[in-house]
Amino acid sequence: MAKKIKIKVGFGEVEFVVMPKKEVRRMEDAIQKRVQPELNRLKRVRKKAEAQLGKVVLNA
Amino acid sequence: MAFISTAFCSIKNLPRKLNAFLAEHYLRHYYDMRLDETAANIAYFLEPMRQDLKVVLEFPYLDKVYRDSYYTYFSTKHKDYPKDCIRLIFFEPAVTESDYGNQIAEGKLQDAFLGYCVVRPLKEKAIGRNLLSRRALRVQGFECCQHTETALVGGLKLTITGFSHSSQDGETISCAETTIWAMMEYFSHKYPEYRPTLPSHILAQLNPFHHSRMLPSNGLTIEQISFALKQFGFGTLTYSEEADGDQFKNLLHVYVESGIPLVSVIEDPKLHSGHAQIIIGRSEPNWEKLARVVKRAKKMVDFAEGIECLVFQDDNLPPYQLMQWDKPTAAYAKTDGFGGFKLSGFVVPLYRKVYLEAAKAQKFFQEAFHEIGDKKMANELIFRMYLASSRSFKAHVAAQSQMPVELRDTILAVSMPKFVWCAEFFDKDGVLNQEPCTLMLLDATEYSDYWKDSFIFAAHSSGAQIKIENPELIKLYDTTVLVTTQGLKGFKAYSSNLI
Repeated sequence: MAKKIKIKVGFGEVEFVVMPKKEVRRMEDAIQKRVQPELNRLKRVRKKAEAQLGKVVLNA
Repeated sequence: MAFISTAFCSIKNLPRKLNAFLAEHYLRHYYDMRLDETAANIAYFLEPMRQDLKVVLEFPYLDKVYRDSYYTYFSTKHKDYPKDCIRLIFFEPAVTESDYGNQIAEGKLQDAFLGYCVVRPLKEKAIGRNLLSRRALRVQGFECCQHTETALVGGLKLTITGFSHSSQDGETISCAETTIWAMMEYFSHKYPEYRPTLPSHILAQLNPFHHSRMLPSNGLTIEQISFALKQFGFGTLTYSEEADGDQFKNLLHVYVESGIPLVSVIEDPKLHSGHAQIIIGRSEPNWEKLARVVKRAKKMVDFAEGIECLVFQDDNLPPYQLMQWDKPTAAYAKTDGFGGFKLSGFVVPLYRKVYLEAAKAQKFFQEAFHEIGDKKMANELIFRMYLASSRSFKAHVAAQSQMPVELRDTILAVSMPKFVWCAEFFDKDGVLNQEPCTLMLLDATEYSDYWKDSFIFAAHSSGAQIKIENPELIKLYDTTVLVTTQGLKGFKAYSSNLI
């Protein structure tokens, strides 16, 4: 059963549904699993980009 | 002491009037200046401008950038160089000679003021510092980064909005130094964190680390440009076509969409030659094209597909050049020898506390969509991503009168860092109305590899997940994520980064 709570937002109150911890974990883990393999590659790409472009003399 | 001389003419008569002005004021240097080259320079600069404008010529004009080059370099030569410049001031056609400098006509002059251009007393590259309003141009239909500055015009302080431009003088400033100077003009007028710079300041930053002389200028490497920008307060990042591969175009457009001017690097590998330009904006998005593309798309389509051209500031060309991202020298004449130049990379002058870079944020957004967004739509979507200040983003949200009130107030009440990465996902129905079906925000000051650390909120058609790190909430429910029942509706695509 989803828990509903009211929280003061600005000068009014808004009703929220509390996302169960289990569901939050599942969502976060699923996203992380998809993202993780790419992260190390992205760091290497940035270093490679710096090395490749760094020495080009711009004077034309 | 002498009086300032002025002349008033239409833009069509400007070359003739300017010749007379040059002859009168640079008499001693007249022969050296090679009037034909100066006139050709000016004519080339005026070519993209509206032909109905009025122009005021003014001499002497003390230009801060040329004076800096003069005292650092030109005055140290045996030959005598003039130290004063001519300034051209552009107005709408309604302005008359009697309006100029007339305090009663100040309002009219302000409305009609379209910018200025400094003419340097150099035989080549006469076009100096200039700031033109887009209204002065014949070509319209683009959005770009712009700043506002005040210019003293006929004793009146008038404001002008645009992006600074200058041609290189070939001796004290090459394309690389001009690029750094123009960047700092923009950022210093826009944000209090930065200060304007001058050619000698740029040299002073780089000189201790340079193994050979820096004057006359032989250009700078990307490493040096990046270093100078870092010294001026930025957290710079470099992207290259070879290293970033398929993502290169998308990342370039992400930063353009973020309203950050970029130093673009174009190279001709055969000539071993490189050139720097600034990318300051893009043509207006073609939403109809995006709607057509998304209908037959087999994968998520990047917003860049709807952008025909980018706006370049190139110190060899007149300002505001619209060229395709992969044809950055299309505006050059064939005889200029730039035919083989291709965009090989760019440098982003990021605010130094933006730690989450675009490629990582892009990955976070796209993978999160598969969990949070509607999975059925993943192949029929346009993906748009940009960096925004939370101030501007919230101001945009506050103006969305068609949004569900509770969702709007909730987003406004969420505590955010100074900069946020935003992603808008458009389905085929929403793209024509420019209304995204999913909106996500990430904390741009978070470097962590864990997606959850940078997550702020995701709103979609059936509700919104919002992370609230409230100790009470954690104590009671052992969670930080709340869901609103109001879905995303009536949110117009964010448009405050480019004007």
